[in-house]
Amino acid sequence: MISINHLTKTYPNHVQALQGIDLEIGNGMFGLVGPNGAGKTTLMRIIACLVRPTSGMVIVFGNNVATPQGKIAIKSGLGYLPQELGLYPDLTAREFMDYIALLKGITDKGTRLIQVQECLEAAHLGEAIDRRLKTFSGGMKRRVGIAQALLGHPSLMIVDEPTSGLDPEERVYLRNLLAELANTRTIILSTHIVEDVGQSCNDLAVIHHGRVIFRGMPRELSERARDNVWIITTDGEQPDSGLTIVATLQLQTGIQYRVLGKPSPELHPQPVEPTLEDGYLWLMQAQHTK
Amino acid sequence: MRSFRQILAIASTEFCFGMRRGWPVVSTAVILFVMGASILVFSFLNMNGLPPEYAPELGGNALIMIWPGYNLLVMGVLTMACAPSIPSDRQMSVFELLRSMPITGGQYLLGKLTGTVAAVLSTSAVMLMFLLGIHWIMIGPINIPLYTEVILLSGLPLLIWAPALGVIAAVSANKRSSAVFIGLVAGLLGLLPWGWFAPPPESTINITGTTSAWISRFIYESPVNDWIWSHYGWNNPWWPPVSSNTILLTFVTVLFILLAIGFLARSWLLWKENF
Repeated sequence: MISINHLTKTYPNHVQALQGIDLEIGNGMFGLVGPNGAGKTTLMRIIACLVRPTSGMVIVFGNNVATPQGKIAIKSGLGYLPQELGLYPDLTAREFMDYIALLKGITDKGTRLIQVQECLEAAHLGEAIDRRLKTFSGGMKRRVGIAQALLGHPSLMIVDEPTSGLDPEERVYLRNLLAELANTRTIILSTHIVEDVGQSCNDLAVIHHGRVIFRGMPRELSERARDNVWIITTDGEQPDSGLTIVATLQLQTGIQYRVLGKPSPELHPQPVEPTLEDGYLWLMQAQHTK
Repeated sequence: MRSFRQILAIASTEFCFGMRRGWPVVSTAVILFVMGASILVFSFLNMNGLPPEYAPELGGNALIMIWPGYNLLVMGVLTMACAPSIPSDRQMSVFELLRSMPITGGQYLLGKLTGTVAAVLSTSAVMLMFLLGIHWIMIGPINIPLYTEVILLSGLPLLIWAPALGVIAAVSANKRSSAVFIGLVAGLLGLLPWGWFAPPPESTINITGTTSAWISRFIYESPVNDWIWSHYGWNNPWWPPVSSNTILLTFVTVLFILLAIGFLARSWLLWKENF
């Protein structure tokens, strides 16, 4: 269980990244969604003990992120994939993983060998195990990032944009892998791809300007947009400016728009089932109009 | 035990990087090659048909003459070459991942220091064996007591001091280029403690004024070197004899400075990076 109380973070340049976050995160996959600069990465870096909070308290499995002992205890059970992960280009995947395994405290050589192999195979990198990392594609490097996060069977995984740079097949595989792993641990997933959260998380929070503006299940977020999602088909002209266009589809008979808002009846709007993305956009729109 | 293994892992990886990336290793090899080649050329030219019994003396004389230059090269170049050790991790975006590991900034720093110094010392040992071998074959026997004293009291401490100083001084740098600059400055300043406790010059023959005498002493001389040379009849006419207490004080000061800046670097990592 992760307990976050009245958490704030103000950077030395006076940017207020977090402005009083209160969250309880239990076992399973937890999604963290929000626009760029909302404070998601800061929040995750505080939980990972990389950044010191300005005020408030974060307790991770009974350990306080603010104490030296707490920091080491949290990091001992942590698998972390940063948004921007670099790798040592001259090392092979096996050497890099072995290094990380040692740093994670897996000192027994036999255990290390097995875990390195297992984690690389789980990330579909079994065949590239002895290749130098400088020969890896962007997607493969991302998967090495996932593989290293799995080392040591962490009880908490924090993954920042894990699917960026992956092709659709790899993305689905990774999503399923994380969902499977979430059965026995807590995984915090931050992503811009709302669909990923909808497909794999049973709990999510939307952060905006350093505050939690939504907390609940993906279905509940979708429901926020109910009766506000429409399909409008026109012969070319755009619907009125009060609507948010979510998608545009070119048809033989004209252009089909998926819109959020209250369109005028002359446009003959057809109501449709809201998706998670609709719910998210509706929520954001409400924030902007505040 | 776990902490020790973690430090060792960082050190051995850094050692491998030193061997692969090369700057500390290449710099050490080049510096020692230049030094060795100078000794060989000087000895070779001066042997000029003399019997091999003269080889130790000529080689020793050459060593004494080029040693201040070696000190300068080590502090100027090696410190600079070793400085990017930690900034490289930042520039390659590996640092954030390393900070998420169950290690402290102190362990990380110690691992980096050990690995870099180990790479420099290993290269030095190989180069030294190679150059001494060539000396023995081409010129003749070497002055073993002189070489032992020079290596243990002056060469080895400098080969530890310079890379350690470089790694620690550049701990806050974000890029390799800025680390190199910091390393250069640190290296030149790093010469100062070695001359700190040198007694003031008795006369200023050939040197105009006391200030320039001190600067000259900081750059070209060190009490440790003077102390060694005095054992072999090479007394510098400009400087008074150096006592063993001064030598001890010099080593204690250097060690203290190393520990102090190491502590500052560790504190910086904790304060700035929560590491």
